[in-house]
Parts: sequence; structure tokens; C-alpha cells
Amino acid sequence: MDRDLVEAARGGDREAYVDLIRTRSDRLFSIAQRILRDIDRAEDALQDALVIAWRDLRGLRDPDRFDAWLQRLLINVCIAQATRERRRTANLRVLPIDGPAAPDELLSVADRDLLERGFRRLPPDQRAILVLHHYLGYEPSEIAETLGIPAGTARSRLHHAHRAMRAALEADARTIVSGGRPA
Amino acid sequence: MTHDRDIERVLGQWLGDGPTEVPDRVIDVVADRIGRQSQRPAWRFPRRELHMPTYPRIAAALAAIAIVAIGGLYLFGQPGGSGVGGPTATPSPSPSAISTPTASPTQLSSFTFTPRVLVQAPAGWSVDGDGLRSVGLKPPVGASGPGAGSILVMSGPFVDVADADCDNRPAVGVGASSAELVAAFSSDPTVTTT
Repeated sequence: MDRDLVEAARGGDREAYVDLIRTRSDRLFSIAQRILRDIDRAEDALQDALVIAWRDLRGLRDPDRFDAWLQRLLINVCIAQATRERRRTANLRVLPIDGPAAPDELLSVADRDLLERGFRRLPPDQRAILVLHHYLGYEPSEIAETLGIPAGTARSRLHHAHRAMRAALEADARTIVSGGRPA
Repeated sequence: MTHDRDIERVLGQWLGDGPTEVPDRVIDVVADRIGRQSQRPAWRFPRRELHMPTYPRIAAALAAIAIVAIGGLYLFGQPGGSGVGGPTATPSPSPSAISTPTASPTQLSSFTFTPRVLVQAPAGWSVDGDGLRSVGLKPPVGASGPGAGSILVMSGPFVDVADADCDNRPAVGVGASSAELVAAFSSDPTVTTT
């Protein structure tokens, strides 16, 4: 069924394309929001990715690969947007603006704040790797397929992302202990 | 929370929280935007490159340079040039719509495509599509007749994919060596090859 919709969309059928993306938009939005940590920017990234996907849909050779292709495109848009944002706000303190998270018995507000700041310190491509692994539950081989990189590279990048996250948390903890303001 | 296992444990939990539904207006905006956005034709997308060892790749690049050299000589429009392919070479009909004796030549150059392509072309010719894998040279608008076709220089062979939207087809039976390419040009009656 979806293959038919993809084929129709490739042929220029806009309604088919909207039907296609409507069933995928929640999942894609969730991924974008996790990488960008901002609802408005996630919406913008999703819109841009979906318009680019429409424009370039005829470049997709295998309709069965539509989901993986679209997901990769979205992640690339998110990484590009986050990279631009990091350059722009390099000297600004970024505050969480998503509102209070749902209460959870295991993660304290302080823990969440710490994670938020640590995560935002990571380069966008490392954020994306962590979201793919910890949010979508992808194994390195699936990450590799999604990002179009070798499996060994995906494993290595995941390892580095974990290490970077730990370093970011440790740096944040040191800043707080020494009485400074968190970045 | 800075131990590896702790980080991996809490990351999954922390990332799991947050919004999971996109507002309908986002899709409405996309539907509106694609209403004004046309799709790029399939032939605009680069073909998948064949996996080639380094030396054949260099040979292919040299062959591409040979095409440019031949194309450049052709664009100079030397009617008295002798055919490389021997007596089978035929002088091009003269004068064509793109090569007039009074037109001043234009220097065309690629910037993205490497190795850099530098061609002195008749007035009105321009670079059309300067990419990583190919650079195109196109004649002036309205040019017609023999020799008015575009020239595409590619850095290597690509997998040819059947595509209904693409009416361009590679020349059949032309090898990738310099000699074979020169011979192919020489056999084309619309091209003066020197």
C-alpha cells in the first residue's frame, strides 16, 4: 500500500505524498525534537525535510527504502540546523523552553537539567547518534544503515558520543561545584 | 550519573520523555509549500558511481580530459583541422549557428568539477551544471544545426539506470581509453577532430 503511495508521489501526486507523510510525521517530529531540544525548531526542521523530500523524491531509487531515506534526510536537516544554531548561540546560555517534563520517579529535576545541558553541549551529529540509539533503540548496524556510514564507524561514533556526553556532564558538575554558572 | 552505564540508562529514559505528536498545522504548511514546489527530474540526481580501483579511476579522469581537449579544439572551430582518425574523419559543416567567424571566444572554466576544465568556446557558450562528477557546456539559446548540442564531461563511468524521464543515453560501443574516445569523435561527421 505504502509502496503504491510512494510510487504515486514520485509521479507527482501531491495528495499521495501528504497521505504518506501524515502517517509518519509524529515519529519524525519526535526524532527532530530529541535532536534539537526545541519544539519550534523541530517543527521547522520537519517542514523543511518534508519539502526537500518532495522535491527530491524522484532521486529515491527503491520505494521500499522511503522511510530510511526520509529519516536520513530529516536527521541531516536537524544536524545542519543545530550546527547553525550552535554557531549563533555559542556565547549564550541556552535554557530549556519545552516546559516541565512529566514527573518521573527515577530522574530528578536536577538530573534532567544536567542531562539537558550536557546534551546541548554535544555536536549535533553526536546528538543524532544518541537519539537513534537510545530513543529509537537502533543498534550500530541500524545506525550505520540510517546514516549511510560503515557499521564500524557507527560503533565508533556511538562510543565517542557516550564519552562526550560523560565529559559534558562532568564539566557541568565541576562548574556547579566550583560555584560558577552552568554554561 | 557520569559512569557509562548510568549515562546509557538515564539517556534512554530522559529521551523517552517529551512531545510525540506533531500539530496538524505542520503538515498543512508542508502541503501548501509542496503545492508551489515542483519535483526535480530524476536525471538531475547523480548516478551511483561504480566502485573502481585507483588506477582505472585515474585513467577515466585522463579520458575525460581527452574529451575536453577534443571538445575544446572543436569549439575553436578549426575548419582546416585534419582528422585524427585518418581518412574516415569528416570536416564539420560550416558555419554552424554556434561558431561564427566574428564571434569573440569565451573562456569557460569549471570550479567544482576537478580536474579543472578550461575551454575556449565560441561566444554564447556557457557552463551548465558544474558538479562534483560532471560539468556541462551548453550552446547559446536558440542555437541549432550540427554542433549545437551540449557537451558533458564526466569524471568516471556511472551506473546507467533506466529512467523514463531521461532521454539522454550514453554512446554505445565507445571505450574509455583516450584512443577510443578520439576515434569515436572522429567518426562523428559533425565534429572536427584534430
